[in-house]
Amino acid sequence: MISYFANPARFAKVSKWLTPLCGGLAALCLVIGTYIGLISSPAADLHGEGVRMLYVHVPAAWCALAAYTGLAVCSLISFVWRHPLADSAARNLAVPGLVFALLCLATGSLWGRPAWGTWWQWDARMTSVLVLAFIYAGYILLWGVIEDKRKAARLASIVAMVGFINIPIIKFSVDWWNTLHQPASVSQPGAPGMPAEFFIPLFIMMTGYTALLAWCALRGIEADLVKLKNRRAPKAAPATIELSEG
Amino acid sequence: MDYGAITPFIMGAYGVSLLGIAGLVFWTLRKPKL
Repeated sequence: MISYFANPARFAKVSKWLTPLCGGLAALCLVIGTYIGLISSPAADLHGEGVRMLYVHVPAAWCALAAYTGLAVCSLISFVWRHPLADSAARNLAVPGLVFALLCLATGSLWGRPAWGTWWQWDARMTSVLVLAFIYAGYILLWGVIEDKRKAARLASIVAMVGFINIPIIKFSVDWWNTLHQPASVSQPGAPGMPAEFFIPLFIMMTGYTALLAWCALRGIEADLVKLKNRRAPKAAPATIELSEG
Repeated sequence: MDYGAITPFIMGAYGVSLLGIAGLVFWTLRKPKL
């Protein structure tokens, strides 16, 4: 799998149809999901109308964690095999990941005020997501400030791999510590599960957010390939003026 | 769309999400295409 995508030409071939597919799927799911989430879905017994915020908060959290997991895996590949495409994938997951982490914090805060009576609480789940946003910012800054890109790739990979320790902490923080945040609703083992009227809009929005994340990353890698291609392309021969003799 | 007292929070959450996603889309579209 890794060696299959090691070839930029092969990646470009797959990306040619996968990128617009992800973009189209994202647009479709986000429009339908927003309509169902805001208009046609019912209020919940416990959360009331506030359950509508679930459809923007949970997908943002999921994408922030998924983007970081992808970033850490690509960093590991880059660190071990020094693969430039893996570097590009990791770098292009960072900005969307940071945006999703910030959206998760903002929508969570907006949900927390009416649900818990507070905008913010230094509890394990919220603090660990804030730490994730800082790790993303640090990773992006590392790429920005180090001029030698090979050195930047090595350092950023190390930061990304060390920072991965925060992902299980975020996931299990609600089980390990006593937090304001509720435990997982969808993946709780033995739980009755989420009723279909809430699960369907959540699933559509999660598909839309994930497709958007994939589209952003693929477009970013494509842009890096374009830059690489332009750098390697032979420069145009300087214009010459032919002087006629005599 | 009226959800009672919680309306500004719901609209705020969707508004912030829309802004974030739109920003991300415009930032990505500025990149050169293969």
